[in-house]
Order: sequence, then structure tokens, then C-alpha cells
Amino acid sequence: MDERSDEGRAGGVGPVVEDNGPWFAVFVVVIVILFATAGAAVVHSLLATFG
Amino acid sequence: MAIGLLEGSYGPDGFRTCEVTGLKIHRSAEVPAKMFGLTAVVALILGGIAALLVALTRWEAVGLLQPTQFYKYLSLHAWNLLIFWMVFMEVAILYVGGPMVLGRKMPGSKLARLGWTVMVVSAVLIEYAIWTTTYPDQQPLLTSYAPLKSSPLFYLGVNTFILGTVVSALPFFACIWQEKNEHPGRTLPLVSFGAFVTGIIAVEALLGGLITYVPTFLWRIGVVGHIDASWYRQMYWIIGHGSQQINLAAMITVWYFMTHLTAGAEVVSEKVSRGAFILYLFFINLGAAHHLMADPAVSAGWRMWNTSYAMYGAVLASLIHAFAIPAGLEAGRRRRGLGGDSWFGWLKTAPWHDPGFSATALSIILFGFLGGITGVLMGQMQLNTMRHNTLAVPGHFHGTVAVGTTLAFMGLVYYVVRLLFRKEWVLDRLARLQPYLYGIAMSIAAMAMMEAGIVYGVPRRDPITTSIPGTSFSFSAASPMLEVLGIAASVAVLAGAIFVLVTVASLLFGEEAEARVPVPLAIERSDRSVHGFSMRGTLAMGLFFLVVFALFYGMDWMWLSRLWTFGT
Repeated sequence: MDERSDEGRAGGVGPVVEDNGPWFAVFVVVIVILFATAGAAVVHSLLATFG
Repeated sequence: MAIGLLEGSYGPDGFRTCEVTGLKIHRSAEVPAKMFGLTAVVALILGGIAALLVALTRWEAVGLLQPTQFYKYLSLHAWNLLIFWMVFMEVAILYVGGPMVLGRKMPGSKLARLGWTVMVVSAVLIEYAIWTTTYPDQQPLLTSYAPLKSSPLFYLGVNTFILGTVVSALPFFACIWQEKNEHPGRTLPLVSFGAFVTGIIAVEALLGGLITYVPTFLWRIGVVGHIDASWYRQMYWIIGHGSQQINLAAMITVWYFMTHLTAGAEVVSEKVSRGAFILYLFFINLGAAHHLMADPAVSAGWRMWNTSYAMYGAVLASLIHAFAIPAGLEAGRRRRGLGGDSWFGWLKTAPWHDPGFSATALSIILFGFLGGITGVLMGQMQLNTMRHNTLAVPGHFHGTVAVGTTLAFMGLVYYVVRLLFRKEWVLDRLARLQPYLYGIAMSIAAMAMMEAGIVYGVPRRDPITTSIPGTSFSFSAASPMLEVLGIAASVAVLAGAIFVLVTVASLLFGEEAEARVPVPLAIERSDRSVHGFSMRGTLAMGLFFLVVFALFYGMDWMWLSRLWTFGT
């Protein structure tokens, strides 16, 4: 059974996109900044250890 | 005004039906839940003010407070945010997860009001005791370690606060008792089950608190001549860490509730999720032993059993929830046709504009990466030696209770304003921005603390580390980390202030809320079982999490191997 075609027909309404404005992009930016900060912290720690 | 806020429109039987959730809510549960929620926000304000002063002192270039003042505000920060904000919210969550979700009248609602009164009076007593403590009494901080003596009023307040919390929880347990008596074959809804497990963990912690603080109070007022410091430490952590395990169980209950309410999540496997809660019941409090990793009073075997073995039962539970909740979100949204059939369309189209959802989602992610991973690392005896009593410890628990529990509770409060107080949010744009601002700022503050603690060994609970009087030794190399901490924590306090502004302004000036069912819940679901829908996006994210977990685990062992050689 092809689940994807069924997902598309869920409830007979078809795929729905809730308008969340720019906020998903805001979420992505926040996550990127935080992982970049964590990465910088790791590099800094390694430099302090081996540098 | 305050009394008006607590009231609502109920039918002759005392019930009303929530137009959004469909829950039958009785006045006997709703009014006390509002009382506890409002009180929690007051504690958040007080603790947040103290947080700003503490952060601007640990940012030593600013150095705002003198040491005596620093410990006063650190104590106020700890008790208001780790205890009062959390516990008042958690009692409110018990009333939501019990009588409201079960559609029952709350038995003994007068007990709830009595418990609230005792808790508020006790909290004021503790605040007063901390505020007025002078030498030779010592500021208690959170741990109030004997034999250092704090004000007798402090110990009295702690005991009565614990008693008040027990009294407040009784109506919840009575409600569960009635439900199971009337419907012995009916399973509790998962949210009620989670609240029930939270309640049991709370009772265990509170009993530990009385075992600790009643003798300590008697010792302080001279009835008992001696208190054993090692006994105190071991007993204290039953409530000291137990209270944080209440936060964890309550937070996860909120995660299940809020992801469903705001984004259409479903529970993929009731048995697996309930099993994970039961694992908490048996194993989570053993994790308290990690506070005693460097304690000479307990054997190495005792420490290893409780942390490196038994605690993994609780870690497994957390990993199960960490997969089950996003998986439920993904499958639930796919079942409603939300986001198409791509790997992450369900996530991209989620209601990121809704602070109830964004606060919950950020809480899940940030708790996992910052609080969860570091908790497992520092909960292991060998790795703990690198972090013990350093600033990395507050870094860890700001990753659990600040970006985890507090953010989740903030998301819940946004919906409490709409669904219980039935007020529209004012300052709507600020409300949407607030979880992101708080999440990013508090996460950076937590990471700065971890870095200062792990790389430089900067101690916790110490306002002066870069120019220590009487010695040329200093931690001045860590100054940039302390600057980052000060700036990020100040922004986080600003975000906390925005939260308070939005919620209080909404309560005072908000229009009556319209009965708007969140979009995902308004969409009809497919007839197919939720198990039939793909969860590949969650699987990918889960594998990414495990890779990061393994990387940090390996790096910690590498750093440990380079510190010094044991036994030589």
C-alpha cells in the first residue's frame, strides 16, 4: 500500500499548509546559531587542549 | 480584579465545556489551577530579577554585587525559580492532568485552597528569612548544607512549604482514586497517567524533604544537639534532586499535551510511552546520587551502582520520550495531511508562529541537546570529576530547568491564558518572538557556563574568580566566557520579562478569547491507524542526536584522559 498517496488524501481535504509566516525561518536561524555556537565551543575546547 | 480573573461562567452543575479542547471543566478544579498558575508567575518575576543581579555579578567586569549580597540574591534566585515557580506550576498541572482531563469535579477543593495558602505563607517566610539573614547565620543557597546554619525561619518555612504541597496534591490523588473506583477497567489518558507518575515522584521527594528538614529544624533551634553532615547530604538530595525530577516528569507530560493541542500530535504507542513513565518511577530518583560523586561518605560501589548503572533506566526512558513525542508529531500531522509527504514537510509547516508550539518544540530540542546529554555525562562517576563543583554544573541545569522546563511551562501558560482565563493575547508579535529570544539567549548562557567550567575549571557559586584576594592565582583566562554569560543571561531575563508582560497584560487588558480550535485539530484525520504513517523524519533527527551524543561522550573521555593520571 502506498502510504504517501493516502497521506495526501487524509480526511479528503488534501495536503494543508498552515500559514506560519516567517517563523519557521526564525526557528531554523535560531537552531543554526546555536549549533554554530556549540561547534565554536568545541573547537575552542580542542584548541585549549592541543593548541 | 484578581477575584474576577479567577471566576468564569459555569453551568448549574459547576461544569463548563472548553470550546477548543472539548474538555469538561469543573469550577472546583479550574479556580485552584488559576490560583497556582498566577502565583507561579509572581515567583518567576522575583526569581528573574534576582537572576539578572547574579548574572551581572558573575560577569566580573561588571561585578554588580558584593559577596554578601551575591549569596542573598543567589539564594532568592534558586528558591524562586527552582522551587516556587516550578512547584506552583506543577500543582496546577496536576489539576489540569487530573480532574480537567478526566472531566471530573475535584474532590476536596478546599484542601487545594488550604494547601495554596500554606505554600504562599511558607514561600513568603523563606523569602523573608533569606532577605534578613545576617552573620553568623549563612545564606542557604538551594542546598542549605548542614552544619552551616541558616535562619530558623528558613527551615520552618521549608517544612511548612513541603506540607502545603502535600496537602495541595491530595485532591489530585483523590480524583484519580475516584476515577479508578468508578471505572476500574478504564485506562487513564496518557496526560493523566503522566501527571499521576509526576505526583508519585513528588510524594517521594516531599517525604525525603520532611526526613531531611524536620531534624534539621530541630537541630537549628537547639532541640537536637548534633546533625551528621554526611547524613544530611544524602537525605537532602532525595528532595534536592527529586524536586527536579518532578520538573522533568511534569515537563514531559506538558510536551505530550502541548504538541497534541497546538500541532495535532498523536501518541504513537501508548504502551511504550507509559512504559517510559514507569521507568522514571523506578529509576529517576537514583540519579540524585550524582550529586554525591565526590562525597567521601559513600562508597565508590554505591556511587557507581546508582549512577552508572541504575540511572540508565531513567536515561532510557528519556530517550524513549525523545523519540516518541516527535514521532507522534510527525505521524499525527501526516495523518491529517499536513505538510505533504516529504521528509520534513510536517515540521516545516508546523505552527511556529504559535508561542505555545514554538516554546514546546524548542524546549524538547534544547533540553535534549543541552540538558540531557550533559546530564548523562556528568552523571557518570569518572566524567563527573571534570565538572564537579565547576560552573559547568549550573550550565547543565540551566539546560534542563531553564531552556527545558521553564520554556515548556511558558508555552503552557500562553494556553492557560487563552483556555482557562479565556483572554486573547495582547502584544501578539512579542508573544511570538519571546520563546525564540529566551531559547537562544538562555542556551548561549548555559553553553558559556559549561565552557568556563570544563575548559578553565571556573568554580560555581563564587562571585570573584578572576582576581581572588590574597593569591596570584586566578581564572582570568575565562573572562570572555563570563562576559558571554552576562550578556546572554541579561537577554534571557529580558525575554522572561516579555513573557510576564504579555501574560499579565493579556489577563488585565485582553479581550475575551474566541473559541478558535487550532488548525491541526480542526482537520479531519485519515481513517488509517497512526502506525501506518511514516516517521522517517524523526528517525533521521534521532540518529543525528545519537551521533552528537556519542561525539560529546567520546570527547569527554578524551579530555579526562588528558587531565591527570589517577593514583600517581
